[in-house]
Amino acid sequence: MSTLFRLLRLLSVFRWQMAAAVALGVVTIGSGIGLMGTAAFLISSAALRPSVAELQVAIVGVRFFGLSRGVFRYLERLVSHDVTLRLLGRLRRWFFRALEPLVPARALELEMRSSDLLTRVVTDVESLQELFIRAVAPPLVAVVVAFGAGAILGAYAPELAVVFVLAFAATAVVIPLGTLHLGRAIAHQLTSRRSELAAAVVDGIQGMADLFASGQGRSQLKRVDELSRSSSFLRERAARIEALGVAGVTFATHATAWLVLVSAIPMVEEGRMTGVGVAVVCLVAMAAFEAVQPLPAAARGLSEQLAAADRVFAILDVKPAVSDAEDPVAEARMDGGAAVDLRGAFFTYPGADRAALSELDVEIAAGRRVAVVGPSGAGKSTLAHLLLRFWDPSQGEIRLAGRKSIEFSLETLRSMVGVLPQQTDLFTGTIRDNLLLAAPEAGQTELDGAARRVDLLETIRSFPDGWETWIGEHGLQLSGGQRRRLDLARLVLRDPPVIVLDEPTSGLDLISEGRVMRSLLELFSGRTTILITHRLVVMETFDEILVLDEGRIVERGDHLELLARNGLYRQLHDEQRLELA
Amino acid sequence: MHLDRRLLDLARPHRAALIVSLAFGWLGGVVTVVQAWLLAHIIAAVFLSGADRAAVASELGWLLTMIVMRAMFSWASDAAAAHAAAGVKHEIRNQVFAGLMDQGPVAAGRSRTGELVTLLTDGVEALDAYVASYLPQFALAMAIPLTVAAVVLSRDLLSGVVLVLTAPLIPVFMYLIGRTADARSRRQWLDMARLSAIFLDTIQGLTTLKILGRSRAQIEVIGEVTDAFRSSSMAVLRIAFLSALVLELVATLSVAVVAVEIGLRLLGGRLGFESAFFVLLLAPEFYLPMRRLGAAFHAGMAGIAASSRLFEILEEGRPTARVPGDRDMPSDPTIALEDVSFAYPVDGGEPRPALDGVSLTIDDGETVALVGRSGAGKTTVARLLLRFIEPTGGRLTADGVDAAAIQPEVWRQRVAWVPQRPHLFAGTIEANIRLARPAASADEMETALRAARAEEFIAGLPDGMATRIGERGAKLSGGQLRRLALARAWLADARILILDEPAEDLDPRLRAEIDESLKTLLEGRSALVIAHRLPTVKVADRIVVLESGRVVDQGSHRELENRCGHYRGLVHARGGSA
Repeated sequence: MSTLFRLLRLLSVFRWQMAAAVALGVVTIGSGIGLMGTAAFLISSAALRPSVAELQVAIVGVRFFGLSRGVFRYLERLVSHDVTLRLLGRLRRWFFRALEPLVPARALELEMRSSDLLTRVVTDVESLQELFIRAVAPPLVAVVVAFGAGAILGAYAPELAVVFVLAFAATAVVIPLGTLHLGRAIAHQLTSRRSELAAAVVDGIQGMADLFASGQGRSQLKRVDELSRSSSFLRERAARIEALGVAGVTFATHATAWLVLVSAIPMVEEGRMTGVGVAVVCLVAMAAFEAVQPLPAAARGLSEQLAAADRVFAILDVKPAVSDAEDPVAEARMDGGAAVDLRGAFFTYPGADRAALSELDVEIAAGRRVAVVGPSGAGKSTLAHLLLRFWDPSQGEIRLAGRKSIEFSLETLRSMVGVLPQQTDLFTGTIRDNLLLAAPEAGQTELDGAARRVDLLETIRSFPDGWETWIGEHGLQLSGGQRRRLDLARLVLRDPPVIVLDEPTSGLDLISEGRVMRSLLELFSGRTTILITHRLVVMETFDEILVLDEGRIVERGDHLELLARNGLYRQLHDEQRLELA
Repeated sequence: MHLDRRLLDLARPHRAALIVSLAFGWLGGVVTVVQAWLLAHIIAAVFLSGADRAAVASELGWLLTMIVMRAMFSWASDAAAAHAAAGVKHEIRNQVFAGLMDQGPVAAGRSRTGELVTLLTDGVEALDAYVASYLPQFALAMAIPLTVAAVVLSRDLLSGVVLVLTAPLIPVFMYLIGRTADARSRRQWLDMARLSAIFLDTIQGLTTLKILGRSRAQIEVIGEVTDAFRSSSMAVLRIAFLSALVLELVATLSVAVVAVEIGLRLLGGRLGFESAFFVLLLAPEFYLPMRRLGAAFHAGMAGIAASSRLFEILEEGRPTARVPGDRDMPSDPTIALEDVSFAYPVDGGEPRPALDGVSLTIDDGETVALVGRSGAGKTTVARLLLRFIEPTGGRLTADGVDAAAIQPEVWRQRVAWVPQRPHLFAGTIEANIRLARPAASADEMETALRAARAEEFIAGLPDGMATRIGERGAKLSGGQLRRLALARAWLADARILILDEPAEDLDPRLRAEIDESLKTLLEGRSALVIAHRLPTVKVADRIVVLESGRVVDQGSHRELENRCGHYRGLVHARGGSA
């Protein structure tokens, strides 16, 4: 229920447009009633052979309603679709605004996959946008139509109004809720069967090599076949229940007209009603049921929309892992003294039983180069995440340029600490778009300068479209090396005082990685540089090396000291020497 | 109009259900006519002859019977159509999935899983509207108006003529609407696809945007893009609604014309009330099926759009014709690649060569290590031996028998594989390991786990072997995954092993143990090992050096050290030594 109220609150911004759409919906059906009612009146009256003049009003009425119905329907559609699309835009903006602070910390914890998030923002939000058109407007229209048509019948005889309104209300309530109830268990089964089917398809495609190698290809085919059969069968059962709703409304429509007719016949005899009236009341009752037709689908839609809303709200309700500074200090300069200072920092991922980082005391003076090495899972990337405040340490603190990092706004913090991420992430668009993301105000000279420093300028100039070259989805039109350099150019353009390089040589072969590392260090010489890596490359150029194991610093010193110590560093070093190119 | 041939072919096996649906739909139309006649008759009797309830009791009874029958026919028609739709959906889903499996893992790996899954679930469901609503409605939109027109013509020629004359206007307008709706839905699909792409880009890139300090600005961009989508959609919708307006006007104005025209003739005494009222009741029923077709049209189009993509995949998926061999796999064979070449197909381009005249023998019981730079063709050799791909030149043999004469499934029964990153299937850890041999005993499981050094980390998982993997399940590290794959291989107990650097990504402290375990596993089996580390190479009886798709040399470590420059280059890239 609370989900429904939240949704209605969301809709309340558009209450005037919605009122207009409902009013138009009512007059559309009203015109249908008017057309059949006046037509019945016209023909019945004509049978009594009055003068043409007496029929003029009815003739005009028939023509008017014949025209107005279409026009009102047109206007109603325009208004309601406009509301729908506006709502869609609002929901999406809202969703992304809520998602932004959750990434990456909460998204990782809650294992929000991008495909799942995309489903929520596309499919679920689309299903929500139909809330008004499909679930809110039809019942409102039906209520007004019930009273309107009831009033017309009541003008002939109050009993007819009672018969009609009772039958109408019973239909409008019993059939939608009844079919919804009948279909609920199947709908649940269907949802879970479909997700099993999707999982089996994913396993079949992504795990095909494993399945084939294990001789299980056929059994997966059989599994998909069975799941597909049973989900088709469940869908068929659901469709039969939906068909029951349609048949039920058809029956109720005509049965009500029949009841009205049966009740009206004695009234003619008693002289309480004219013969003309009988034809009119029957057709009015029948035409009014147009308002009931969308209701079974509305009830089904509403339960789907509530489920979709729950999935969307689930994202909106997550509390961000870090909160922005309320009274942020301005960016601090980093000349002399410690640029980065971790004091007794501990960090445990929410829900984990073991700390990812423990007792971290690291002071990095401005301009120094520090490497953080260790086997995978040692906590190296967690350190980078803490520096960027994707998470906050559970104990201890991190200082930047002498101030606690939580005193800076998140924007300021991220302009002080720049990261070259492990994976290149480019956006659909042009080379210029992608570089401007890093510094929207940068002019052509700055762009050229950054591109030159990462050795990309000549390449860009050699493209026919130059800076306007379209790089495709995830920049896949560029080569791997070009993508990497574009990524690097973004960091150069931002020029932050502290640089974090997160596994910058991952995916490179042994021969290239030394070369790439050297050119990176040269590019950022003079900057405070923190390298995070499991590859021990050009380690001799670092002022200090921290060896992390299971979240603790187990060794620290420079390359030669660490080799001499014969510990984990030495072991990692020797292991690496056994690798083939 | 819009009767897709391929969809009709697919629906053919279910035509019985569709015909039943049509029959009931048409019977519903007939009952509607009878119902209208009874109603007109009763009202005429009450109105003009002053009949009381008793006088029309039997007609009232029949009327109610017709009403009940109409509802029953409506249900039966829908239910039969739903049955046909279920069959069609099941069929196309199976065909597409089986087609993907036929293409094999290498070809299937090139398509985007997300798109495929959406197509096989939501895309297939979109066919519902086409098969269950659009197809039957298409036939009914012709059958019922014809029936109604015939009845009206027999009762009142002029009204019948009005109906028959206005009827062609409806298909004309439907066609016009269809065209705008077509353009509209195509454009909207495009716009929506573009929007989805922007959303996905933003979602996946949100961390990067954050690092760049641009995440909040991007949300404003999303807002603008959505607003632009709204105005463009509204512009197209306005046209579509306008066409719908014209369609509706034709239908309702025709009813109005009929009403006025029969009213005036009644007045002149040239038409009886009963006939007039009957015609008035029938007039809307004449247009109703056509208007319903208009409503079903839009949903039907979504089905067509989805199905055309499904059919594309089906056509891509036609596997190359292969003579189905029926030879048995020799039991302890010598495996040989004889002058094998292979090139990967490239969409709309020249095939990309990967192997060029490779000859390579693995004697029974022998371990062969494959070394070479990335891109040298090591993975392609492994894929050939697993029969994921077939040679484009030369042949693969087992004891001299051409592999083409042995079914890939039969071949693979003798082969076990340890990939770099095994796929984790939705289910428990145990089910994932048992994949290799579902019937393995508990003892065999235990042995395999111990040998793969997987016991300890599995015991540390929340539910041990019963821990679920997947959506909300446990995350495994690269090293843990590798050990899981090793356990699978132990359990498979196959004669031939194909391993992709089993010790990569492992904690240095675990590597020595895995190296030991590997030695035991390889004993008495034939194996091809793709090696990235010296200790792995040294396990092998023979080392084959691959470079740019060719075998440049083979021999023992010592021999190659002495005479093969390529090999020395690989070994000493790091300054490593024997």
